[in-house]
Amino acid sequence: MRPDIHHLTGAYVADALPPQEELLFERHLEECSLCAAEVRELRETTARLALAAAQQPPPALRQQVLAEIGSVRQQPPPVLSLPGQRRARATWLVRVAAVVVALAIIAALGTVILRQQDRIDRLQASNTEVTEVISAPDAQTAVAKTGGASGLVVYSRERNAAVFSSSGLADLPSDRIYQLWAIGPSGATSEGLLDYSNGRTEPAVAQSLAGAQSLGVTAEPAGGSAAPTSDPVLVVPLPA
Amino acid sequence: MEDEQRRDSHEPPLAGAWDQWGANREVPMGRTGRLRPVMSGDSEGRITADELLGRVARGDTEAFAQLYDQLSGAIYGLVRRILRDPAQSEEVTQEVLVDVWRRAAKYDADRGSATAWIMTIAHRRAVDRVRWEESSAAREERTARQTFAAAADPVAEEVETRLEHEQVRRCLGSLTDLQRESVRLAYYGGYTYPQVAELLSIPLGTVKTRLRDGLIRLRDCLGVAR
Repeated sequence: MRPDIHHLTGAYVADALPPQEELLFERHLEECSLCAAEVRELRETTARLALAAAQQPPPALRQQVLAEIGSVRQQPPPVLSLPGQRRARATWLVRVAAVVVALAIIAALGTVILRQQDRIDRLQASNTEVTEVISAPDAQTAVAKTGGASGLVVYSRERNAAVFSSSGLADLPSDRIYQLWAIGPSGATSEGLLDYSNGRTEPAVAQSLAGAQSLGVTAEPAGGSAAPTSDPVLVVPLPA
Repeated sequence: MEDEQRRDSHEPPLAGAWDQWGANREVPMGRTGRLRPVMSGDSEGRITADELLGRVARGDTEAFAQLYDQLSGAIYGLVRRILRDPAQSEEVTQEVLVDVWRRAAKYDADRGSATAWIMTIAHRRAVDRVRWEESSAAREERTARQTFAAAADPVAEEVETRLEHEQVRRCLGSLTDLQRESVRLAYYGGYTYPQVAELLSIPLGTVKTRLRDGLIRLRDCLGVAR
């Protein structure tokens, strides 16, 4: 990791980092509480720059937006909070409700906690791989957009591996999961299940990409499928 | 039909756009060391964006309409400054607002003010749109450098003439030229820092540093934190 990564807070809040560096910095941000605090402060600062740029939008926009939200379902709040992510201003009632809901979920799906631990383990294991691919000398980046979702691929031919991450994918019902596929002339090969939260999928490493032309995401039944059972919701071509 | 109406009204009136931001002119200086919500301390007794967003998360469409009235101007203004194209800006503004509605429950007050959260979404969306268009355009023609050079001056000029918020204007004026230009090109221009480095003919490392210390100086000047 480069020594000056702390200095990227400014470029980060201005959305001025190229995709690879943004990924690296967000990874760093999870471990660096000083950087996170500075990012918070600088975001309040850039918000002021936004307020200072205010312009009256076309008057018809108000009605359009209000009409559209009438047909858009809202995402639920996060309930099982991760360690260190205290819910703000939770009253005791909310806390009790959260515990009740959590217990109900655990009862219904005894595996949730195990899977959560498993997820953390996998994240830690993939951390090194992700960093290795991203910082490979021959790493190339591709971005693609399908509908409202956008995907980023950092591909190293030498390592025969690619890091995939995405944003803007829709929430899935609890019995569905996003699965990543390497797609080539001979069909699709599973690259594993994606960890999805808040519209983003965690960076995942796809391997054995010989013959693959793109990476694609489908929504599959929980547990994943051997072969895709639906059309991809997002496809990113591998950089040539 | 509605579509045509909308295209007719693209040029927004600038005069009076600031009236609705009057409450922000007095910005409290931080004393407690905690971040302050940008919209707090409303002298007109208006409900803060933080409170409205909490109600929006519970499906309150009336609160959403109030939030629209408070922040749609800032969202549109920011998006417009980055994208320039009025039709695209309107489209992205709508996407941002619908996204705020959809994700309201994900907002965590511990991580900053509602206004900052919303403006982060808006800036990201606008920049994503720019990068997306550039990435497909770049495949067709490799004249990016010329495009950047041509676009540079108008961006700076527009910021100069349209920055009506006195305090922000004054604080931007307290930055060094390189800090100000870096912040302007990156935040209002939607350029990546390597592009900013190219435009200003300065090393990459310098841009990163100027962006950071420029924003820190702005932060202190605006009394946003500390």
